[in-house]
Amino acid sequence: MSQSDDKGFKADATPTPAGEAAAELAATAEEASQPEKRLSPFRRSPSLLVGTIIVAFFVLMALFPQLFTSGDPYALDGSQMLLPPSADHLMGTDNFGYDIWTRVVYATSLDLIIGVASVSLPFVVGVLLGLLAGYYGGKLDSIIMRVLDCFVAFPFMVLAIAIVAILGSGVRNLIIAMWVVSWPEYTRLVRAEVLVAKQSEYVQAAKTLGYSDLRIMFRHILPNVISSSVVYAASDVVMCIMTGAGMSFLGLGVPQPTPEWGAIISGGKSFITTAPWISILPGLMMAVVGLGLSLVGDGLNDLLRTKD
Amino acid sequence: MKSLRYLLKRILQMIPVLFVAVVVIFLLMRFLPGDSALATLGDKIDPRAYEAIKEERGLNASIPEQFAIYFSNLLQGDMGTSVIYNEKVSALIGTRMVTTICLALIATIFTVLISLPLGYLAGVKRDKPADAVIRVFALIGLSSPAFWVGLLLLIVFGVQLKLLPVSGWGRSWPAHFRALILPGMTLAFSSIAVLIRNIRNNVIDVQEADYVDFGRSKGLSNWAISTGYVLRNALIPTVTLLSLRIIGMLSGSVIIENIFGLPGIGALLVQAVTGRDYAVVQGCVIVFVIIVLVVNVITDFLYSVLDHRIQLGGDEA
Amino acid sequence: MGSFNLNRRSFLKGAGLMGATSALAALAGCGGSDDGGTDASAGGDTGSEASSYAKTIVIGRANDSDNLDPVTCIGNINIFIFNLILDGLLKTSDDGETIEPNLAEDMPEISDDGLTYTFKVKSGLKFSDGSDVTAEDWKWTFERAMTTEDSNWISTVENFDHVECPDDTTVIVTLKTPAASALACLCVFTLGVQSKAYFDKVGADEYKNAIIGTGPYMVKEWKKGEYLTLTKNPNYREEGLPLTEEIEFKVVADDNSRKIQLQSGDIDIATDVPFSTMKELESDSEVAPHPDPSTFTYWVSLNTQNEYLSNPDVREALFLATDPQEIVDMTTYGYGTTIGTVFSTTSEYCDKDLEPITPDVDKAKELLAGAGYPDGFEIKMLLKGGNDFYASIATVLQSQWSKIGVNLVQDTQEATAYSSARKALELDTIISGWSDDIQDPSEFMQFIFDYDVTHGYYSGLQQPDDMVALNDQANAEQDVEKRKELYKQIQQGFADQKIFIPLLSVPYQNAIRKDITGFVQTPLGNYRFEKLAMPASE
Repeated sequence: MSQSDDKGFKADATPTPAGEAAAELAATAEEASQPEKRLSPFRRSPSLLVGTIIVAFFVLMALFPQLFTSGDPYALDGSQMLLPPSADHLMGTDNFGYDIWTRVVYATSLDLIIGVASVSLPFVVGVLLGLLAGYYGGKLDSIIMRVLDCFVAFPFMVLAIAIVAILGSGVRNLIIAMWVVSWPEYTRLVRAEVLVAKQSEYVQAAKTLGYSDLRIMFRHILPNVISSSVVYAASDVVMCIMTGAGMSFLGLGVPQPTPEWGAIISGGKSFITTAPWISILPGLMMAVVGLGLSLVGDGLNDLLRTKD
Repeated sequence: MKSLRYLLKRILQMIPVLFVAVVVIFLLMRFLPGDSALATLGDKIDPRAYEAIKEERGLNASIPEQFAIYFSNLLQGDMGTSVIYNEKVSALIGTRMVTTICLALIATIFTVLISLPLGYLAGVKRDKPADAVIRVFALIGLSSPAFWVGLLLLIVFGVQLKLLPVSGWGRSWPAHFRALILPGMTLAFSSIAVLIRNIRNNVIDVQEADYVDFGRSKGLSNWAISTGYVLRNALIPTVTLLSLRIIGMLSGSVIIENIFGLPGIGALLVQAVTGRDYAVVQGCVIVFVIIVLVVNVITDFLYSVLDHRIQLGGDEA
Repeated sequence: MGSFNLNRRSFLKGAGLMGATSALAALAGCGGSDDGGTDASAGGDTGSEASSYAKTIVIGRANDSDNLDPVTCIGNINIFIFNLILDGLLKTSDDGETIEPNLAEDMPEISDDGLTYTFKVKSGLKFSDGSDVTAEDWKWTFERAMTTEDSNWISTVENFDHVECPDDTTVIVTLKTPAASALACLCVFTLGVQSKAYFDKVGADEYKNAIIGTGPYMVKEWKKGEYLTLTKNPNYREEGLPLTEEIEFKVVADDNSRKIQLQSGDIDIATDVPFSTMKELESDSEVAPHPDPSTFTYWVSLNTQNEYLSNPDVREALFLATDPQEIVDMTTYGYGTTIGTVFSTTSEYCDKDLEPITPDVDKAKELLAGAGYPDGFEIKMLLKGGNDFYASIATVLQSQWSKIGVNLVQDTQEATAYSSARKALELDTIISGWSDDIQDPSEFMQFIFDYDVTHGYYSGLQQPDDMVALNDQANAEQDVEKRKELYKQIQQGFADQKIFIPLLSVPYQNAIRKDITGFVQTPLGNYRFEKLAMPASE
């Protein structure tokens, strides 16, 4: 079973699929010195190779947009409004006469930053909380999990809207909203696996050796339980970009005329019957980025599991 | 008996969560700039009318006072009155809940109907062309923004082919059903992808398990093995995943209902947050928490039906 | 929109073809009778006149009404339909230019001191529930409009001192001070006569859901958030009217859906149609844009309390960097009109001599450099999330102002946060819009001159004494020509203050089926549907 799929399994007393996976992971960790491991990761996982190429392409686009277009993303042109895709305008133009391809290219860096920034803090915090909850159990676990229950009780969009309404719109506040809504997933993932890992022989062994809790948590458990979160993070980057797009749809995302994929797509919504390219083509770009990141996630999953 | 006690325990556990959620959203709403009087007045704000409305709606009371009033009413089963709709919150939510539940239901049906056969097929035809095609489809589904998929479906089926309504809810059940097809598909899209991948992998894992070989050695037909062993065992983890996706769908409905103009709780909630219609926001959150609870309990039951090894009432941390 | 159903659009296409053919036959046969086409347009269905019209006309709106009580309601979505249900003593003409008697027999007798207005009311008036309109109803209607504290419309009636109704057909209104705006104020929707007995029966809360008046229609059914159906008032005073039995206001929130439903015949009239869609519908064979003139004007308010904008030269530079024509072209596809003053262009007091801005980037740069900002500065514009029209204006402005080095940052806030920021004047610049509720500038002027209401329409400027004096004079002046001169000076005063950058005026954004006749939306926005009709489709 695929790790990236078990978002947030609840840990019951019975072995959960995520738990089984974790056990497998523990096993893999123990095999770490086997010779087949020395094969290049790309050779062992074609998904990772393809995914990395796609992601690398977009990183290049983010760093050097001038290589991909000679246009100006802010050049408003009343004589070039709502033109369909052509040699001059690869993705057509929108209602301001903006060249969409140019804007999509220039949007890449901002979107990747939003995606990565939105995921990084929840990843760290979520994993830590999951580790603490799973390892210590008892009261601490109860408190963390009840807080988590409260967070997931709200539809995340509503929480995000409320936060943006309090803080105001803009990239920074959008990322803060994303931080608030996306940590529980990591906590659930890690906690479920820690519950299983805790019972494993190597942890029991470490305990009998009298290692400190900190050492056991970070040296023994963490490396074995983190992989599913890493895999999930790859797809979470895409989800955060999409949520940002959803906020733009409600008029609370990145303000015009800053090029941003979600804002471009939602800006085209009024024109879906007359100029569908405004929404469709940038959406396609986003889907390709998503594909790249999903493939990287799959690849990492293949590498980290290596059961077959 | 045991399962009943378990059920009771689960419900009792949700009560503090519900309470905290209500308090949190109550405070959060009061932190938002502006109040419902301002939201109601819109563009032409006469200061006298503003003060009069604030007074009338009890917005001049302190926050603890407001909460005390709200909470004591809530305990008596009164969720308050919407300032936007001038209607009881319970009545307002009641009609909209039907829409949201139908939407989630239809999306769930799409998810199951599409992902089950495809995931199973991909699993049994592992590494064959059919598997490759299905996996690519799933990857695309996983990578596409739901919001964009909704627009695409709208353009193709609504605008170009004119087969299905572009938005709205209709006034009869057949019309409701037709109105739900596109949003249902949109909502189901990423879940389908996730489930296909999950089922495929589960099928592969189960097929390799010892008891399948055992079944074969006993001379059971392939069909019996497929349905009796592989499918059932492969579905156990999928059930939990599906329940999580259903809860996720409720979140997704917030955006989807807005795109497709469906009068559901998600759309109501966004409108209520914007209009500072506190009683409605509170009511919607309560409903969402309850739905999450119900889905979780149903999942646990399904789990026990599918897997006899699992006993309900185990330690739930 | 069923694929298996014969939809009305294709049916009408057929009917239209038949109509055209028979019209041709009629022409050929009797050589040009005027009536040839009219008969054919009934779709070949013979019968009484009433049955040749469609029973129901469906109007698609982006939002639903939320309060049908004229006194406590807010927002155009409610206001626009009151003329269908309620009638007052007076009304504005359909073109908005004059004021004419409605339930009054004639224009009022005005006392010599200009304080007392005496109306003779038509006799035998009945509410839609069949009860008689009494003196008590008139008095109650006026007094409720004048004294309800949480009414947003008190300012329009606050110059009324008291009202007497000695009998069922006489209403005497006494003003506090003589005012030229009194007749316009008497047209306001809150003064449409309503039934006291009904109000007492249902109570204030229920009253928001259905009201009773003497207008051509009455509320039949309201499913909130979905549709509001009005049906013919059986006791309407004019025989044979209204022509259409039912009007249904249907909520179709999404702009694209509203257009598609209009084209497919699910709705017959679409309101709140984006300008781009109106442009697109110009070439449609079945439906057409219907841009009725409105009182809407839009401008940019500059907050003079901002450190940069406190300098008049900086404000003038922003004026000169603005190209209103480009904004009209890019945001309204030509439907808007550039303006030189913020007054409604349909008002007789609008100073047409004030020209729209002619941009002059070089001079603007000079002014900025002179003010000490040769490299420009950064400034915010407060915007409401989800308002695409304002956002597109801001985007064009951003591009225009960037030419003089001013970096305009869009500060988009969620709706109520936006109202809150606006109320506290937490803004540098803001796109402002105005639409009149009475056919008189006095209401608008009050919003600018009464600093507490809008901080001088978000300019942060308390109007100086000479301007206040001019406004007081204009309020009291009875002679239209002299009043025009006073308002001219006021508008010139605003222009000199450089606080409002006038951008554009826009028409109502309606699109209707081409076979609909009698669709009227007055410049104030009131629907007048007595003669609204559409040929029956079956």
